[in-house]
Parts: sequence; structure tokens; C-alpha cells
Amino acid sequence: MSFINAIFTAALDNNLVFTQVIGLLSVIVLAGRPTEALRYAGLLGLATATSGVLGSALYAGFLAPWGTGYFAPAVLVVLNAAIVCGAAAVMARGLSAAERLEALRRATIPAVSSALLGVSLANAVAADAGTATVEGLMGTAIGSGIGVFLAVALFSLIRNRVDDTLVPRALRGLPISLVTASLMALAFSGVAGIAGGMFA
Amino acid sequence: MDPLIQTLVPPIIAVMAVAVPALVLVAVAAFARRAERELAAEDVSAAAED
Repeated sequence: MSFINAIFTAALDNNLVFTQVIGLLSVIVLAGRPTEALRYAGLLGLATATSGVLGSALYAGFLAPWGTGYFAPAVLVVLNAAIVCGAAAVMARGLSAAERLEALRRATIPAVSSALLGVSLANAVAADAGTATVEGLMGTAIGSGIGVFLAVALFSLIRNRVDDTLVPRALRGLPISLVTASLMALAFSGVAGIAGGMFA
Repeated sequence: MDPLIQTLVPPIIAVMAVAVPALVLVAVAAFARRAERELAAEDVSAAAED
């Protein structure tokens, strides 16, 4: 039950993007056309979950027991970049050369997304505190991935419905995106405590 | 535990933890270079046809 609780808490109550405001920039940059944004949302969500699972295992299994926990941020940054770039290379295998290059170029945005580093480091802090359980850490990692996927997908769908011609000139582009993000953050804070509490 | 192992293992773990993902990144960079070369070759053959 604590695994399901951790998934719901990380995905909705403590959504990495809209509640903790980590990785918001990459969400805004990636939320282009909805079909394309969904693909990148999947990539970023899967990468966040994988990075959380592998990063926590690496930290709690090797780095912390051998006293090299201070090295975690450097290790996790390279690990995250490898996860995203590796996944993008696998996904782009069958495409033409030009599309492959474009996919790899665009993958550099999620590769350096702070959402990936955020979930691994948060799990590392929880492991250090000694209160974390394996299912709690794995649930947080997977839930954060789902939360990031939801954030990019919902943000791109809502952003696509905003008619730029009706937006005042001064607010067009990035300002209206930030206003949209702030309203979505309000919506997520509205369910804070409910989703995780259902399985507590 | 042997003090030598205690001294040697932490730096080996740290270096391996960075080196393995770095190798994946190098492989992806090689994959991108190949795509770039294919693209350049396509451009050259298209120009030759013209």
C-alpha cells in the first residue's frame, strides 16, 4: 500500500513541476504541438522514473555505503543525460538522418532537465534520513515520472487551446505560458493531500 | 575489512559511476555523427543529380 501511496503522492500531491516548481522550464520548452509534446512527455516521464529508480539504487546501494555520497550530483547528472540520450537514440533508430539529428538535438532539453536530478536527489535525501523504504523510493520515482508526463501533456493541451489572437499583445508568448502554468499549479494544489491520503 | 580495499573501492565506484553513463553518451554522440555524415552524403548526391 505504501508503494501506491508514494506513487499518488509524488504524481499529484507533490507534483514535481507544478507543486515543487522543478523542471518547469523544460515543460514550457517541450510543450509545442500536442502530438510531438506527448512523445516528449513520454520520454521525459519515463526518463524521470528510470532516473529515480536507478539513481536511488546507485546512491543507496553503492555511493552512500562507501562514503562517496558527496559525488552523487555529478554521477546523477551524467546518468540522467545518458538515460535520456540513450532512450532518444533508441526511439530515433528507424527515422531518416535529418529526423534522427533533430530528435537527438531536442533530446538535450529533457537530458538536462532538473526534474530528473530533483527526484534522484530527493530520494537520496530520504535514504540518508533513514526513514525511506524500498517501495517508498521506487513509488516516488515512478510517481514523479507520471507527474512529469501529466505536467507536459496537460500543459501542451491547454497551451494549444489558448487563442493567441485574443491574448493582449503584452502577454503573448512566454508571459501567457507562465500565467497558464501558475493556474495549473493552483489546480494541482487544490488536490494536494487528497490523492496520497486515499491510500495512507 | 582490509584498509587497502576500504581506500581503493570508493574512488573506483565513483569513477565507474561516471564512466559507464559517459560511455553511453559517447555512443550516442557517435550515432549523431553518423546521422550527420549520412545527411551530408545525401546533400552531395542531391547536388550531383542537379
